Formats: sequence, C-alpha cells, structure tokens
Amino acid sequence: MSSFSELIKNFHKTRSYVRDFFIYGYKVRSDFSRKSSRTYDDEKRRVESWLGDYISYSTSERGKQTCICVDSGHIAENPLYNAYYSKSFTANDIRLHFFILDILSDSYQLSLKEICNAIDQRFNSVFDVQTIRLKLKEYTDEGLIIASKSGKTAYYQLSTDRVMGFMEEFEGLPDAVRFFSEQPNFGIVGNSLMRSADMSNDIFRMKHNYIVHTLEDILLPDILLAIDEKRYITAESFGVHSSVMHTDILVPFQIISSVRTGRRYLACCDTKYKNICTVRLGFIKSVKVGEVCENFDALQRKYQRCLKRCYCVSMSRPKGVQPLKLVIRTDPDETFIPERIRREMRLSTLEELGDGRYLLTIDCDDPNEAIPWVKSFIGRIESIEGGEPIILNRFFRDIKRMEKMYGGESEE
Amino acid sequence: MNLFSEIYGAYYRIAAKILEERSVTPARMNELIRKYGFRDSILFLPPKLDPRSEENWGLLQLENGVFKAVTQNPPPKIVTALQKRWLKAILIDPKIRLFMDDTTIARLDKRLEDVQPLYRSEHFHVADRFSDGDNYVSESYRSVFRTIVEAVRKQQLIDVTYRSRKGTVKQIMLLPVKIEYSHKNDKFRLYAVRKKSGVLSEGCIVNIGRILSANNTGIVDDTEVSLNEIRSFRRCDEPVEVHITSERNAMERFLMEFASYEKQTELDDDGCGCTVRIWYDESDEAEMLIRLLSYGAALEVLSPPSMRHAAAARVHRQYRLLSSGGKNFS
Repeated sequence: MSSFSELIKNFHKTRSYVRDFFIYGYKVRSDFSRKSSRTYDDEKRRVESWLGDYISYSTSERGKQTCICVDSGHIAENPLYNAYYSKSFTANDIRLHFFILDILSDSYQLSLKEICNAIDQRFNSVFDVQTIRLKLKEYTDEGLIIASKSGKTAYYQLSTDRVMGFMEEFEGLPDAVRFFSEQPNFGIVGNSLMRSADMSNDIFRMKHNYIVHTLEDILLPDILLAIDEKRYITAESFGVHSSVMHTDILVPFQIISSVRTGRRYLACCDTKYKNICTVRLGFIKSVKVGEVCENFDALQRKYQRCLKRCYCVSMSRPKGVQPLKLVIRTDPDETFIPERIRREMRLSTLEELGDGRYLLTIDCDDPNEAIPWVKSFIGRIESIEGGEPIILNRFFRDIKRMEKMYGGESEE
Repeated sequence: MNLFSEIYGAYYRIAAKILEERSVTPARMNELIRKYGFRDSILFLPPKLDPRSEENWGLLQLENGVFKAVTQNPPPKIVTALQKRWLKAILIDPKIRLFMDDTTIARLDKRLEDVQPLYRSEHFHVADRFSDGDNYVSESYRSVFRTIVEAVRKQQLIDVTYRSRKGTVKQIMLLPVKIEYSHKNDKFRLYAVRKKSGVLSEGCIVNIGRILSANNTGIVDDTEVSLNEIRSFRRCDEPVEVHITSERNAMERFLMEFASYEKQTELDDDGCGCTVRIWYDESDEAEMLIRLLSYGAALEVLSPPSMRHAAAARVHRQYRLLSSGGKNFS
C-alpha cells in the first residue's frame, strides 16, 4: 500500500488504461500485456478510485472484466475529467503554492528576496531561493502571478482576476461555463473553472457525447500551436491492432471529428509518404512540436481541396471511382424519410422521381465512407450503382449474408 | 500553461477548502476529503494534512484539538491564464449568445483583450453533423432559451406555446427540469414535467426549436423531479443484445460509436467477435435500429425479439427489393 498513490506523473500511460476500460469493457487482466501485472493492478485501482460509481465488473470465461459503464447522456459532468485532477506533486510544491499565495495576498507586490524572507518569518520554513524563483516563474506562466521589473529587480503580485468576480460581473457566464464545460475540445478547462467557483452543472445534459475525447485533449495544445505556427510535429502512435509504437513526422492542419462514429482525427500531411491523410487522435501517444514547415501554406491549400470532396476522413480518391447512385423507395406516409436524407446527407443531391421514389447521388472522393450511412436505409434501397465495383459487390454480399443471418422469410 | 497541472488537482482543491475554513476538526477535515476527493483519498490524504503525522505537508497546526491553517488568508481563487484562454475561445462560439447579451460579451471580450483564445473554430471540423440544427442566431430562439434556463435554475413554471411535429400549435404549462444538447443533431431539447389542472402529470421532452414562446410564470414549484424520473418510463425494458464480428474492424468501430451508451461487453472465446448489451431510451429505438443496420453483416441483432424482428423485416424487404430488379445483385 505504501507505494501506491492515487496521483500520477504520466498522463499518457493512464490515458491508455482508462480508454481501454471505457471503450472495450471486455478486457481482462491478461489482455493488458503491455506492462507488468502490478502496473495493471495499480492503474485499475486508480481508475476505481477516480470513477468509483461508474465502474462495473462482470465475469466471463476469460476472467474478471472491468468496465467504465456510463451513459453520457445521463450524467452532469464528465467523470473522466478526474484523470486530469490527479497530477502528482511534492510536499514542497504544495507548501510553496499556499505559502506564496498567502504572502502575496497581504501585499501589493514583493521582490523575490522579500518573498523568501516573508516565508521564513511567517512559516518558519526555509526554501532554496532558486526553488522559489522557479515556482514564481511557473506561476507567472500559469497566470496566477504577474511579474514586473523595476530597475534590475523583479516584483511579483497576485493576479487580481478572481473566479467569483468574473462569475458575478458577467451575467450569464456561470450558465455558459456549465454548458461549455461539457463540450468536446477542452471542456476540462471549463470544468476546472466551475470547480474553482464551487459550481456544479445542474442544468445541462449532453447527448451523443463522446466523453472519452477528453483524454485526447492533452495532445491538443501542442497540435494547435504547431498549426498556428506552421510547424511540423513528431507524433508517437500505436496501431489499432497492435501496441507497437511508431514515430511519424507530420504537418498538422485540423482536428476532424465524427459525431456519428465517435472518432476524432488529426488531418495532416505525412512527410514520409508525402500525402494528405488522417490519423486517429486516440492512437497518438505523444506529440512534439518541431521546426517551421516552409511549404505549410501550399500543403494546407492541398488539404482544403481534399476536404471539399471528402465524405468523412478519407483523403484519397480510388482510380475510376464514380458517384454512388441509389434509388430509395418510401411509402406515401413516409415524408420523414426524404426529410431525414436531406438532414443527414453530404456531398449529395436528392431528386424526387415520383411514386415515393428518390434518387440519391453521393459524389465524393471515397464513396466507401458513405456505405455505413447507406446501409442505415436497408429495406428501402431499390437499386444501387456507381461508386466502385468492389463497394457494390461487398454491399450485395452483405445483404445476402444478412438475409441468411435473419433466417430468410421465416423470421419476419 | 498546462492542462495536466497539480494546481487544478483534487488534493490542492481539498487543501484550499480546509485553509479557507481557517480551522477544522479532524472529523470536518475527513468530511471535506470525502466530499471533494476521490473514493480512496480518505486513505491517503489525512496523514498529509494532519499536523500530528510525520508525513504532513505543514499546512495545518494543532491547537486545542483542532487543526488551524498556518496561512493568514483564505487562498485566492484566481482565473488562470489557461482558463482565460478558454473563456476567450468560447466567446467565439455562436452558442455563447444563448447565455449572454451582446453588451456583456463585448465587456468580457474587452477584459480579455490581451488573451489569445485557446482554440479557434477553424482548428476543428465536424464531418457529419446534421444540417438542420437549431437557429442560435434567432433573437426569439435566444429569448425562449434564456427563459427556460432561468426557469430550470429557479424551479419555476413556464407557459409554453409550441408547434408539434404535425404542425398544430399547442399551449402547455411545464416545470422544466433539464436541458439536453445533442452534438449530432446540434439541437437543444427540454426535459420537463407537464402541469395539468394544477397537478404535475407526465414527463415530456420538447425540442426548444419548436417552442414559439415561453413565459416564466414566476411560480416556484419545488417538487423534486429528477431527470431519471422523466426518463424511467422511457428507458428500454430490455437491452438490445447484438453480436459483432471483427471483420473490417467492425468491433472496434462499434464499441467506439456506442461508447456513449451504458453497455456490457463480452469477448468471444476466439477473440474474433463480441456480444454487447446496450441500454437505450425507448424514444431512440428507431435511431438505434438504423445505426445497428449500418454495420451490415458484421452485426447480428440477437434480442429482444421485437428489435430482431424489426431488423429481420427490413433485411427481407431489402433482399426482395434487390432480387426483383437490383442490377448485379444475383
């Protein structure tokens, strides 16, 4: 027990365990072969401690399964945010944190020497000057402290921007924070603000919300910085079927997400293959910002051209691909079907043929990406053509297999 | 600036709470740890705070049996640089106008004038959001939305006029409970309880985009209504059970897509497929069925019988349609 801590130093290792518990839910101890079984036990115990109410267990023939079981539409706050609230620190870190804030609360501004002396006098604690200097620098970067210079001496004062001041001064802000703290992309920051203000989200619920994305947000500051400064990144990733890591040098352009499939991607140029592609964010372990990419603008223009014809994330166009054409049949009282198509279609046109029949034409680079959506109209597709032969053959084969799977007419 | 920093951590927050109270009994200290900490924090944190412990951080001192803060001021709660950058970023989202008026937004924007937004809308692209999302630009929509938010917060009854799916205009009295936002539909829905003849009756869900007007009556109704009560009669009696194979990576795709649902998963012995049970709201049954069918032959609906029959009926109809004229099908 003495060696176990609820707190962690390395977010990336924990991120991968939380992700596996949350998404797969069927994994047992022996499936986590990447590290020792003690690491598994520690990570599991931590996740249990952070997410106690949402952990469920079941037993299969393979062993005991641990699962993070939560309907994201039924919860007030993303429980996975707790992973961000578990950063480890030293005793000196926490002491200095409260001592410095306390000393500066009494004064307009103080020099490093004055702060050292005040800590010594008030708390009877002596810290190395360099340690305090580094902490002041860190807190200046974090915005807790404002540093200024008078002559050669640096002075430090507390930022006057208080959480409650903001919440009271700007009407509507508390509710906005409640709502946006559960949005994808950096909702964790809003949640930290909410907790600091002693608020909770008692108003909003989020449907179709992929809460696991918050674990990928850790990568975003570096990626967005690289996009803004037109730089390369070095990304360390693992594959969907393998835990073998590989390193790629990429030029990042944008984060693409799918609200239907729950996947989030980095759209980028792979410098090795010199092609525009997308990489699953969930499979990227770490990112390092690199040098400026001289031809960033040209590559980004190429990406924008690809995006215009991209159905979801596939940026390549197979040779000889044709627009996919479907005739959808509806009954007279099913006006909601063309409504649904118009609401959900992209890079497509819908033409009414009469007698409740509609011609849907999907004209994109990779029609294979549209097939899962096309299959959601199973039961209504009178004909399908175009696209690529391989896509059509697979579709027809699927229908025949499904017909067998559901026992032919006998099961209707 | 770091997302993963101890200054936002649970332990720092608990320590700040204790220092804010100036002096606490050991029992009160433990209460605060239980309230703001993780499940097991009570096992690890007390020795770090208790001045009698050798491992203590030196933030408290023992005086007459209570723990007193060694600091002289309550710890200030400062808006960090990261939080300011986030606030600056949300100001760019059109939905911010649902919560704040233009003048307030301009004042906050001015206050953050030297701050770079944490992200910009062009950093992100949503590939497949539905195209008929709510009209956040509409002043009447914003007005209805703000009335509802205020009524939820204050537990006040609202008088609502809305256009039903069939196009008829109806007027009802509602006690609003929660507001739901769908990322996929880009729409807000109101979960509420209808008040009929002075009595709270059935729960209902209304698309805010269909509401023509909402007037706050100012009448407080503090009846405890939880979202689950409204949903309970809507939650499916039996979960849908499906089997998915690993072909074309369907298993991973499926588990990711349905990650937002309450579910149970069991891997096949050969590891080449899995059985999943998913609980869903009854009102989402049609959506659930078409999402399951989109996995084609990689997924089989096993139960409940009603869902399996519905899937089978669609498949048979599809088979007949293609057999009777679909090019290249035979």
